[in-house]
Amino acid sequence: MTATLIMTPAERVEDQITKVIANTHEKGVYVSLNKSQQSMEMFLRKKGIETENLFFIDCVTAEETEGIHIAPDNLPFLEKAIEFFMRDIKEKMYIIIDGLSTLLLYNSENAVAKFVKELIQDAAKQHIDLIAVSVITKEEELLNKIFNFFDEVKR
Amino acid sequence: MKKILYIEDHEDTAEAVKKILNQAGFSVDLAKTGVQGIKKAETAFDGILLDIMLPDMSGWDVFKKLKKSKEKTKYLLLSALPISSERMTELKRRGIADYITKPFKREDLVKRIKKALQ
Repeated sequence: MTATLIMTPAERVEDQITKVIANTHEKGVYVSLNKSQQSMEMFLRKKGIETENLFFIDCVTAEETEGIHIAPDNLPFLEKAIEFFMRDIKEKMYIIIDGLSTLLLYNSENAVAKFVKELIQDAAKQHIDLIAVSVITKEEELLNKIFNFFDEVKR
Repeated sequence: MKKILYIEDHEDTAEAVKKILNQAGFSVDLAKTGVQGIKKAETAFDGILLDIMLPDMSGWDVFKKLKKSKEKTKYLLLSALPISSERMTELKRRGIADYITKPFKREDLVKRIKKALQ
């Protein structure tokens, strides 16, 4: 099990996500912080990637559409939802967090660091891979507290 | 003259933005922390610019607190974090007038603040 942070320019986020998902047949929990579930599913299907193995947690759109919607400023609830999937999916699985840095818009640096740390610890206990994708920013120190929790940071 | 409160902990950035906005005809007051910003916002401002990462609380928390009592004020977020267009739509739905990514061009900053405060 590894926790990987992929730092990428904004225009390459979707390619990075596609690469991660296309390379696995396991079930995945997709925490979407940048694009709605609907947009992401449409995008992946266009790329020829089936989405039936993906369980979306949509943190972008309001709750008027189907699926699981969690506001990005509600980190305890988001953590609980991910934990639920980790417990409920018995097969080998992975978690992907698309747009990790977006959490910093809504929460303090310390709250995001605590969330990431706990999530990585929980995933490690259950031998689940965690992949987070974050956009490269001009002020990378914004992510300083978060870098350290990952086993690997890819650029 | 439109009155703006800029809540930003980096003094250099705060002073630079204040200078730009003063030259563009705005009256600007500064606050270094969320708590200080909330206190200063007790007086009326047309617009509040918020840095997203403040030392004592997030800019979003400041926004949520102020929005309840200062509904007519326009709120703009300033951040180095790039966001998607869908995220921008969601921010606007929740009451953010604009989201300006740092570094910004002087003219762009003024133009967008003027537009938000119209």
